[in-house]
Formats: sequence, structure tokens, C-alpha cells
Amino acid sequence: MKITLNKTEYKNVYVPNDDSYLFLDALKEEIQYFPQNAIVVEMGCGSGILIGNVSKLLQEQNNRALMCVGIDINYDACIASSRIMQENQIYFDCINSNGFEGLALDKSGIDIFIFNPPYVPTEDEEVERCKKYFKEKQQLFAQAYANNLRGQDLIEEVAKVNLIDCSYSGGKDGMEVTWKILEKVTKLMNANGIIYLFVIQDNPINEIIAFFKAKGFEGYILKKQQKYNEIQLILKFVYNK
Amino acid sequence: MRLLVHNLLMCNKCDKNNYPLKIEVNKSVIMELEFKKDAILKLIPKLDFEVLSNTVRELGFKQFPKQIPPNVDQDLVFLKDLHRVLFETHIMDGQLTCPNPSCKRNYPITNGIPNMILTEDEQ
Ligand SMILES: C[S@@+](CC[C@H](N)C(=O)[O-])C[C@H]1O[C@@H](n2cnc3c(N)ncnc32)[C@H](O)[C@@H]1O
Ligand SMILES: [Zn+2]
Repeated sequence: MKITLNKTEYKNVYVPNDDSYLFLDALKEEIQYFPQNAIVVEMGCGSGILIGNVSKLLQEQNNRALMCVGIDINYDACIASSRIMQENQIYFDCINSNGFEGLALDKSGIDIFIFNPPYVPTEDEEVERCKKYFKEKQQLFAQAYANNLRGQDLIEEVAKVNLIDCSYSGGKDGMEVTWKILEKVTKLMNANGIIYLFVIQDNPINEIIAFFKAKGFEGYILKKQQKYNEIQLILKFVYNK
Repeated sequence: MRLLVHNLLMCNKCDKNNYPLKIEVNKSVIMELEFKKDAILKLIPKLDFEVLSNTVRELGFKQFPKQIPPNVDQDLVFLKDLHRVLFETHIMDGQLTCPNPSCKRNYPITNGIPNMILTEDEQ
């Protein structure tokens, strides 16, 4: 799968980095364990590198996912990832949402959940700045939409507010967004469902593992690597319902 | 956005009468995808079929059945219709509206992307 970001997207959308590639390596090895006709959901799909490759690999194994849904808070990322999927003829739907807001996944449940969150611990100031941009972007969208901007014009207008900080800024312990998402997703997983999560050593890894254990998930460490002074890990949690 | 996704969306401002969202389509396109009987059969129990059927019929496909046909695994005509509706029809522009009469919040679909984000005071 080829990721093609244009100049604006290159600034506004999370460009696949060491974390994305480590995650992708893990997923490539894991695909064999995915159930037939799975419902695959990725939170914070960014460019779509993870869910796009999963969808493509499943397709090649003649085990097309029933649905591959990517969710991102950043409209620019939603636009970029959907375009990239179309260019690569990959089967995918993208929703612009803040976490699971607006999603009714209770009936279908989730079989595979992928999450490379904003994981960097940041000060309150930075979290506030993110929230401010997020609000501004939403206002800009509403305004542009009301002014009947559509298509490329709308995309360009909305891109004037850059949400890239929201792709890494994780607040306290780097867990502000992550805890909210994990709390919700554990309620949506189907029996034998699998959650894949990226973390670094600054995140409270033992606490995360204990959290999952209490909810009936068994945890594994799939990958570990050091990049500069960051230790990166891919965790796997299987729901023994 | 495909109708498959519509089946998964609700209004998060309300906690009741918030599903399914009414849908209005300004522009849709068909993108072909290989038909797989297996996949579509497995999907059926995961859908809210009544919601799907109402939506499809509201959008003008009046012959679409209200209930899942009895011998569904033999009914290729139906399965192919379902495949077209769920997997191949992409709504590029339109809007979703909360069915709750005291809310009626609109969620735009632009460039194929539904925007479900609420403002701070709506949460
Ligand atoms: C570290 S990036 C990962 C991007 C991509 N999955 C990858 O691995 O390259 C985190 C992504 O999460 C998105 N994000 C952050 N907060 C979010 C939220 N509350 N809801 C949905 N997406 C969010 C960001 O916009 C960003 O695209
Ligand atoms: Zn509502």
C-alpha cells in the first residue's frame, strides 16, 4: 500500500513513523489469528497505514473483513486516509469522530481493535492548546459548511486549522485519550476479540495490564524496540468472554 | 460513507430515540466490489435489518424487503441487492439527522466522511 500525502496533509496528518512501522510489523504477524469476516475498527487511523494494510492483507488471504472502520478526530486525516484507500483499492470506511462519540457498535460488536494513541506525556498547557485547536477546527468546519463550501474548497478551508498536536499529545502519563477509549472499547468487544495497543515506557504499562485483566482480557507483549530514548511496545489483549 | 456505516451511527447528544439517523443523500457513487456470498451471509445477523430496510426504502429502493427473506442463503437476487446496498453504494454528500423530535441535530456527510463531532456544550 502506498501512502501519498500532499503538502498540506504532510503537515496536518500524522506521517507514519517508527511507532506506526513497529505496529505494522506486529499486525502482519498477527493477521493469521484474525477470525474470518471480522469487524475491524481502528481508533485514530491517521493516514490509514495500519487499518489499510490489515484490510489489504486480509483481502489477499481471501478473508476480507466484514468491515474495516477507521475513526479519527482530524477531518484532514479522514480525507487523506479515504483517498489513499481508494487509490489502493482497499476496502475501508472512515468516520470523523471524537472517540466513539456517535457510534452505535453495540449490536455488531468489535472483533479486532487497533489503537496507536496520542501517547506522549504532555503538560496541561499543551492539552489545553489541543482542545482549543480542536474547537477552532470544528467551528471552522461548521462555518464553511454553512457557507456552502463543498468538495475540495471545504477541505482546503478546514485544513487552515492544524490538529497535528492532537496526534501525539497524551496529557497526564500520555493516557488522557487512551483511558477514555479503553474504558469504552472493553464494553464493545466480541468474545475472543483482540485489542492491539501501542505504548511507551512512560505510560503506566502495569496499570494498563491490570485494567485489562480485571475486565477479562489476557495480555501479551508482542514487540519491543528502542528508538532514541523511547522504548516502544505493542501490547495484545484477548477477550476470554 | 456506505449504508453499512449508517447502521452503526447514532446521535450522541441524546440518550434515547437517537437511532437510526435519518439520511438525506445529495450525491452517491457506486464502487464495485467482488460479491462474496459467505461474507454477506455472515454480516446479516450483525445488522439492524429493519433499520437498513427502512433506510433503503426511504432512499427510493421500494422493492427492498422489510424482513430478511426466509431462504436467504438461496436467495441470490436478494443477496446481490444487499451487497450493492451495503458494500458498493458510497454516499459522498448528504446529511444525517437525529430522529428525536426535540433534537434534530444534523451531521453532515462531506467528501464521503460523516462528521459526528459534538461541540463542547453539546456533550
Ligand atoms: C499517533 S497517531 C497514529 C496515526 C496512525 N494510526 C499511525 O499509526 O500512523 C494518533 C491518531 O489519533 C488521532 N486522535 C487523537 N485523539 C483522538 C480522539 N479523541 N478520537 C479519535 N482520534 C483521535 C489523531 O488525529 C491521530 O491521527
Ligand atoms: Zn439527538
